[in-house]
Amino acid sequence: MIKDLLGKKTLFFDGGMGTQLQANGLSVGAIPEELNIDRPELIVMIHENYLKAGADFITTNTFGANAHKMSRAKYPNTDMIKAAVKNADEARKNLGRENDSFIALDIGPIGELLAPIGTLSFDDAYELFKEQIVCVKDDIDCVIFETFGDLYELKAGVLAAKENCDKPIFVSMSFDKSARTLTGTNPETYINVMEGLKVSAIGVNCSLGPKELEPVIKTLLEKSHLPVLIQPNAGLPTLRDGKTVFELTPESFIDALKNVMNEGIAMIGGCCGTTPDFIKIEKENFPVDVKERNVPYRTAVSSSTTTVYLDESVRVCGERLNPTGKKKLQAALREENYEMLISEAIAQEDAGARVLDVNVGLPGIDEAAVMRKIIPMLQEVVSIPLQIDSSNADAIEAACRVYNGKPLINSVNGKDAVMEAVFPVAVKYGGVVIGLALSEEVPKLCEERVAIAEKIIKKAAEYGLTKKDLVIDCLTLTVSAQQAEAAETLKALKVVTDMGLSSTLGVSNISFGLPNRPLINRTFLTLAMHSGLKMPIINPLDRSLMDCIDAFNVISNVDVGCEQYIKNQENVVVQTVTVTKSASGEGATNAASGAAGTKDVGFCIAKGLKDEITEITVAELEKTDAMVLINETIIPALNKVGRDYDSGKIFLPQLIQAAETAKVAFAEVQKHFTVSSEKKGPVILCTVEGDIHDIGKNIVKVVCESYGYEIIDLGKDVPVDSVVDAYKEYHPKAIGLSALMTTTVENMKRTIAALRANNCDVPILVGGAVLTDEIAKEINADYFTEDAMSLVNLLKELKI
Amino acid sequence: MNDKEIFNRIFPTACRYMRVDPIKVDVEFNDKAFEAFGMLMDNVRFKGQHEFMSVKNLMGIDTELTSQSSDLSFYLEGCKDVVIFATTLGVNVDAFSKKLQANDMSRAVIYDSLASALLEFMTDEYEESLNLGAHTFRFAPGYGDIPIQLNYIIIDALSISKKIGIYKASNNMMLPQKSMITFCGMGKEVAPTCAHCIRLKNCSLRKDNLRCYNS
Repeated sequence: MIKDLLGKKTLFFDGGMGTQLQANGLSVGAIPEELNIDRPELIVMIHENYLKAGADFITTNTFGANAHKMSRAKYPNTDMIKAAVKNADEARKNLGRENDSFIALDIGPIGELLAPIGTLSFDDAYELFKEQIVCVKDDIDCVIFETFGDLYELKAGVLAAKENCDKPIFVSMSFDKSARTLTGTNPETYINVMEGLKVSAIGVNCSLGPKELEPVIKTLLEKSHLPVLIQPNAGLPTLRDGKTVFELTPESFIDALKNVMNEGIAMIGGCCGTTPDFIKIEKENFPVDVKERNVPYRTAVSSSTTTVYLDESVRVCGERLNPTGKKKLQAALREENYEMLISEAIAQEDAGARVLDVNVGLPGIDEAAVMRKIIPMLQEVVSIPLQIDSSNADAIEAACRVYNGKPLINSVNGKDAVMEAVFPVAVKYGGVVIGLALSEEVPKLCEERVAIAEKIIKKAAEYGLTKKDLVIDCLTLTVSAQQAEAAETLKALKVVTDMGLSSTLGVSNISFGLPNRPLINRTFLTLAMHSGLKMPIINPLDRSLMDCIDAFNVISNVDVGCEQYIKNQENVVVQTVTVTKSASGEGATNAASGAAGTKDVGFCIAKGLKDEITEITVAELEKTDAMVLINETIIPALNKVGRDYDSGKIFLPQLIQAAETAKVAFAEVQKHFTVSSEKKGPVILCTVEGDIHDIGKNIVKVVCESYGYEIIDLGKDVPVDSVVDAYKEYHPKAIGLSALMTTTVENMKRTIAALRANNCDVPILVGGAVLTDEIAKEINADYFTEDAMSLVNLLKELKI
Repeated sequence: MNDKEIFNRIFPTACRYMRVDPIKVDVEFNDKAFEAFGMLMDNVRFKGQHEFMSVKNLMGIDTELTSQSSDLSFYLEGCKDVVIFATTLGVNVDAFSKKLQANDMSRAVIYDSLASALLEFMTDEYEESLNLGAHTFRFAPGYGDIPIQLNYIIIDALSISKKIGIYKASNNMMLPQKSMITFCGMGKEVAPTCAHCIRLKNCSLRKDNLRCYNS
């Protein structure tokens, strides 16, 4: 029945519950949900008052009723939820409103941030929400998730509701005056992600009054295709006689809504500070019928904070997170050493990529498991959307589930089996899908490519996906092998663009096997952009390609006023480049390249010149043996830096800068060893269970690595058992444990006890802000070190 | 106050967190720190919340916890009311710190120290804007014997997650990391002291005759 009315007739929610409870004597610190059992008559009365005022929905008194938040309550959370639904039902029965009012199961945030920002796992959040829903799923009319500040948590809730209940799902987030949620989501991103997850209505509540929320409300009305729900506070809170009160009366509240009242709001209620009088005046003033809104559909993907439209100007997708042909990345993936991926991701975003391709496919690797790990890690450090790139549907699903935002899925092709495996995943998680114009046969002509694209569009429609949920890859073939077909790719791009579709291409495939590949790549890229290409998949660190895009945007009048071009190009020194053919005819050298200068490796380390050290190390290795450079330059330079730090001549940031510089030099030198150089260690490092502060541990890691120690970094908040498992697996020479809080020193003690119980016979070193020699002894550690440098000195003393 | 003035105010405190002597800082380091400060200001979304409450209500918020602390009663003795502050720099500060830690640890340390100092500074400004009159110094759960678990109780009781986005994390920690919950007793002046500090006997600042609340 809700579905019959939703978006057609204006429906009314109730107002604040907390306000009413406090007015009836709820004390600070008391748990409102307990009143469902302790004072049902009070809750029923509040519901009745809202129904009498004209509310169509009764929101159950269950905002905080998750098991996590209710751990202090005197009743099990599910008992309180069941009682709350019973109270709501009783209220509507008392007023004879069983058939024309609805019970909305109210679900608020869990109260803990999800990993990777926080410590609560996505799966645990899902289970907490599921428990709240399952216990009353047959007795409610809809579920409302409200006052959410974290899009990721909201996604966990929506999935829990979708997978365990068939009732409509309403979502409502809170925004501050900058029109961002607490975790930085903007309204457009919120809309894009929630529409993808196919909720029944989208809204905004709490935080601000109707006037302050107007920009967010307008964005929801202008950009969302879903029915819009609003529940503002009764204005901003002010302090009067030591008590918090809200500034608006029902009259001024409704007055503040006049700009949006007739613009298509489907549901209205109130949040903090609102009372039945507010609902009554809403009912008297809002139109009976909901105005129809015509919102165009767009092709857009999102991270949790950024939405990228793939149907306007050119947006670069970074291609470098892909192990194909990259031995180092392959090794890193196999060793589960994800630092390299993290650095590559940051570098690509900084270089101007707007989407990042993520491919972890390697023979023998559990692609789904790696995706589950790496996606949150990447999303912790980059803010742009990710493109989930796999031919394995299970890996795509695993990645889409944990992805925070609306993902781009790479890809399906024209084969039915592939589409049948991937489209349901895209539908469930709301992804945009790349459709590769390739089928059983490799297409040659433009028409064949277009025919495959049409087949993909048709099949997608069977799953409810529209053209705006697709991006077509017109297939780049190698011009050296299939020369005539490059032009067919370009033609197909034009046709696909004219069909109203967005397009992508893996650009660099074009030049495979040819000399001076960058020249072919950038020429093809320019032609492709001119033919309508919207998302080139390229290496954004290749300046010549990025420069082409800057120039294209100027010439095609996208970069109005040439602002971006000038910003990116004004400091470029134009040199006359002499291209000389080498004896073998392979490649070209730039005669203008400068010498390394007069700085030496030791100087660079002392000064922390990380950006210059590689070039200078390479130059020095031409005249100096690698081992000699390590023993006579790098180590002495590091030792001097260490002594300067100990004596207070330089400070922690400079020590770290020098250490990071030395690490880069080491990496360069190691390339010159015929046999692999002997690394010291390994040493296990981690921040103990329950402690999320890891900057100290990370400092120690950088400094140790600069001295040639192999560090196995287990991360932060590491369970006791994981440390023991790592000890058994890696056979370290020492174990370093870090803790910042007094409360987590107890976990440090447990970790040490577990290691001892497993016959750990290597030194256990502890450090962190609250640690002292005495505490170290108390918790049975072998050593306490005050800082990173003293830890390195200790390792040296111990001959590790 | 413009950014440069704020930087100049907080830089000595940030130096202390980095174990850097602010007097010995050279221009290069200062410039690097100011650059990191610019990054910090791009990511800060400061939010503050305060609630007045009677001391009786505060003590009753969870009697099992408040009764464990003699320091809480000691500092609030003679006060009828208390003001509770919750302040945070927001999650973006944490996220950017993570990114820096992945590719520039040196800058990350400077950034982190500046962020801690900035939170103190902004909380001071927030407190001053309230014109509280006579009040005790600001202290927090975890100080002396005041149970740190009170953070959790207060977050729920004052709907702090909902209002300004400070969340509970495991072991009574809070997220975003640059967040704090503090109290001032109203009606009498009490200056800060080291007397009840957990690091009283092994504080590196005291060894140099410095105090954390005076820099």
